[in-house]
Amino acid sequence: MSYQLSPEEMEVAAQLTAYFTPPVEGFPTIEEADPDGRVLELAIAQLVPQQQEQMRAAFARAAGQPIATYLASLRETNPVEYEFLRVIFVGRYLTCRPVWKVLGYPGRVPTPIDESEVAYFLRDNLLDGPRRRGPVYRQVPAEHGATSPTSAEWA
Amino acid sequence: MTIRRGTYDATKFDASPTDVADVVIIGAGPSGATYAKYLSSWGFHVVCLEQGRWYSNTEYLGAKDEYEMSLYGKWSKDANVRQAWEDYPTELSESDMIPVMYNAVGGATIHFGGHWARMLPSDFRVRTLDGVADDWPISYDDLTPFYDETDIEWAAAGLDGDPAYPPGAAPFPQPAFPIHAVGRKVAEGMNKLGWSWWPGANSIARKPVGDLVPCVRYGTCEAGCPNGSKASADVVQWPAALKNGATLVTGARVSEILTDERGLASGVVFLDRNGTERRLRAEQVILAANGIGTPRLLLMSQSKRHPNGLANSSDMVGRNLMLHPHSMVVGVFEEEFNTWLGPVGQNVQSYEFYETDKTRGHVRGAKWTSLCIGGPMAMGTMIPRGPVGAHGEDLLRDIKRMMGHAIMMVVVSEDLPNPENRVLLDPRLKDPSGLPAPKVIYKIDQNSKDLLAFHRARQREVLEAAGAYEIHEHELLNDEPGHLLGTARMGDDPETSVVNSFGQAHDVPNLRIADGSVFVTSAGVNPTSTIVALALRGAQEMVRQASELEVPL
Repeated sequence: MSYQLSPEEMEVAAQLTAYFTPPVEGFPTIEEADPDGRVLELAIAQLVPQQQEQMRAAFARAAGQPIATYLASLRETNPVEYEFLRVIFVGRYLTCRPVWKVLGYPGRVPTPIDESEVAYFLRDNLLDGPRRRGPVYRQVPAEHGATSPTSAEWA
Repeated sequence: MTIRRGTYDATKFDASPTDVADVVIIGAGPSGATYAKYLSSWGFHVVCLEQGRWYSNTEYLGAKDEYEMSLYGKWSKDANVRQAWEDYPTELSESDMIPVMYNAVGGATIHFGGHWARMLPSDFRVRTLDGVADDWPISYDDLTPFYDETDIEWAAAGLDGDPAYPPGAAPFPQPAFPIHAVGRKVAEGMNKLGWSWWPGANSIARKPVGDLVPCVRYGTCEAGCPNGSKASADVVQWPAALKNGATLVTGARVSEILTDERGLASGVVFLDRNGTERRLRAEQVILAANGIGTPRLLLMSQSKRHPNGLANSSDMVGRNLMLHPHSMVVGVFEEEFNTWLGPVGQNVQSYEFYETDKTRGHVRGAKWTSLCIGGPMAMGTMIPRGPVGAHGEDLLRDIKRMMGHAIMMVVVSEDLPNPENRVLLDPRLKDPSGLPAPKVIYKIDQNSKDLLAFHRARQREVLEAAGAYEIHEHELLNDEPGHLLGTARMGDDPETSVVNSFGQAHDVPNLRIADGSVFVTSAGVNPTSTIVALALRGAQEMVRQASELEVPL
């Protein structure tokens, strides 16, 4: 079952959203990127139950406080909790497709391999370099039971 | 009643206390699965007890928008974050690194990247060549035929002829992956410097093989392959083992390996998710619970005859933990590379500085690898920022500038064994079944720190030669890579090692250890290929011994 934010938690979440994902020129606002809050729900749903409880407790501590002052203090006194909150809200923003579009990120889409790609990326005799370099492994004394060819033998 | 064949949950286990399995295997990851498949093909009735469960491709989130966010929660690499029933907590207050692990059918191969690398000849002769650690009781040549065989099973995809390796290996069964624009850029830098590199080898299908389908490059290998292309033990080994008649019991948490009056292993005690305790007798016990779980269970299996834990007369159980500290160097380029294009398996590898050169001030070396980066959340971590990350305009400008333009190179360093780096039982922390959690004591030594610094500096040179206009060094990736090695090491001397070269415990001849615990040294390569090659070698020896009745059956 997905986690449901209470009205009080929604208020804290809105403040944390404003702090961690403020409007930045050239990027969609959070209201444009996640207009109905669906991505925030999705982000919170990725947390395990213990993390959701941790989030609930963190929200309760932040409630009623000037958020910027509170987070500036939290960053110094409890960087783990600060980072936890940062990941939720920044992660939520970076999960939004309108943001991906601005970043030039196409998302994870199936891209079958064209057989010509192997040769294409090795074009212009790229492998001549390592072939000229030759063996780089070390000779192992045969008296210790190994019979591996040495670099000299390989060459 | 006999023990039912097939796979089912421990709550449905209905064998009687008098039933005796030929072999019980603890852990359904790659080493346990290797034993299960091979032994079952020879008619052994194998019963594997796995505390995790089966996953299907449809549960992996790689194709979903929320994938990156899930890596911080449900699909975290850290069991202390996931806190699922099948996980156990790990006490880490004295550890420099997080030991990544996964408990499921397939084990750590559910979340490994598919990097498929053999060790090199010198790795087996570290004491002889460099005067540190110990030599292995086997050589590279001893393992070569097993590497060749497991390459086929694991759909190893690569380009033959890497001059960094001795000749003589069988051809790769699958063609190489394209190195992509990322790998080409790294290779161009290497070529300018005259350094060795080669297209990377991966255990990821390029062509249809068995139950695997060709990779479509989601680039999400490290949290399960949603396409069913990555070779993981649940896909490439367990179906065959079950067809052979093996039994795989999920949700079964083993709490103790039992011994008889002769000191031999006689079976196991395990708990299901309801807390019901069950016992299973067996002629042979194979422990494949990873480099943390294996020593934990041996230490939990104390008895009057084995007061320091099972198979621990040497006091080596739990010691010499090696975790392969990784560094990373990130270069930013003007060009666009589609750096999100998978697989997470490596596109280019290099062994240029793998071997010891004592003028560097440290011994041993590292393999390098370059690989895809992923999406925006991953890109946001590419600039080291200390304990907390950035947000707002600073972060978004960096991500936009780097998205598709950043290349990362990773140092897979050799980690030398140190008896003080170890796994113990924590006196306070318990798992969900009330069993003692492991406590990990692990400090990165000066040799590793010097080694990593040297390699970062060389990788910086590569990226500079390739044209990077901005470079960032990450000293330590403390939640990578999940290589858990050395805690029940092999050797010829029972006073200094836990098992022989086939994984057979010196103290308990019908107990075998199959996982990375048996490594004498860590080498500087990803270990899964070696783990399964060693397991296959051990399994073949076990069949040979059974045919000669060298151990009680």
